[in-house]
Amino acid sequence: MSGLRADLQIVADWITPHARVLDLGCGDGRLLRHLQDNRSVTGYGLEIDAEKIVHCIRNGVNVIQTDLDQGLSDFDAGSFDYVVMTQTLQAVRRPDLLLDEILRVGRMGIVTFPNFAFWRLRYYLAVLGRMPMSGALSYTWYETPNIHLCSIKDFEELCLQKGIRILEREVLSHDLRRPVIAGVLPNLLAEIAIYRFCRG
Amino acid sequence: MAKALAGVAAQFLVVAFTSDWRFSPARSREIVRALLDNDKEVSYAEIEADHGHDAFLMPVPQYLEVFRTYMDKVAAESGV
Repeated sequence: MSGLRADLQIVADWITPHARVLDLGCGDGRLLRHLQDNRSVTGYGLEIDAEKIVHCIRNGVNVIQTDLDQGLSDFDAGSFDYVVMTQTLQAVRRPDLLLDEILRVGRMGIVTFPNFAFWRLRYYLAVLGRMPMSGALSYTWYETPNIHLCSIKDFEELCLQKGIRILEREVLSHDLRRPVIAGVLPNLLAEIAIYRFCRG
Repeated sequence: MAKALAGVAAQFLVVAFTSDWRFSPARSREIVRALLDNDKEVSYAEIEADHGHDAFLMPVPQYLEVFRTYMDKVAAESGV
């Protein structure tokens, strides 16, 4: 595949060459494939969806069928340079416990998630009185896998509580565009948040 | 088991069937674990199936899809 999606490209740019990477909820394996081809990365993808696992195999990515809600017990402490989780934090039963697992298994964690305080979502709820459906959150309320949504402020507060040190944050606004001016009111203007972090 | 697999050079596909009580998915996961401990190339799929240990003899669509895709990859890499 040609270009990576903007949020995945930001993640890819953070990963050093020859790193060992574990991708939680790796989908069709496109990020790992890109990292293998362009950064000599080795590693594994974890995925629960049967169809996506077939895509991973077709993409030449090592994929282990796993339910992330069971934790990462198959993996030893500190066995990866990066543990990555893109657009999956909000779909697991205990995102707080999984963050601990990420930093047990990896020296550094990278997560991306939709910011629930994004102004368009606030509009849905506050003005329309409807559960938000926009961009990254395109499911209806009755069939969405997104059970633990949070805002940028919520996530950063959780990191503070858990002694997780945020090393870098990037955000994307609507349609995965880079913000016009970086760092302006991210909790309101960011649709996607992307974090790199380690133990504090 | 991790020690036994340490010297292996091959890539692996491990497949287990949910209804297989004879060789349960837990046993397959032990193999996967041993391969992961050695940083080996491995993929693992757990197939929903009803026929116990005989499931691998049945045309279970997901099993066929996983197996076919993996073998296609092997064939492509071998220049077949």
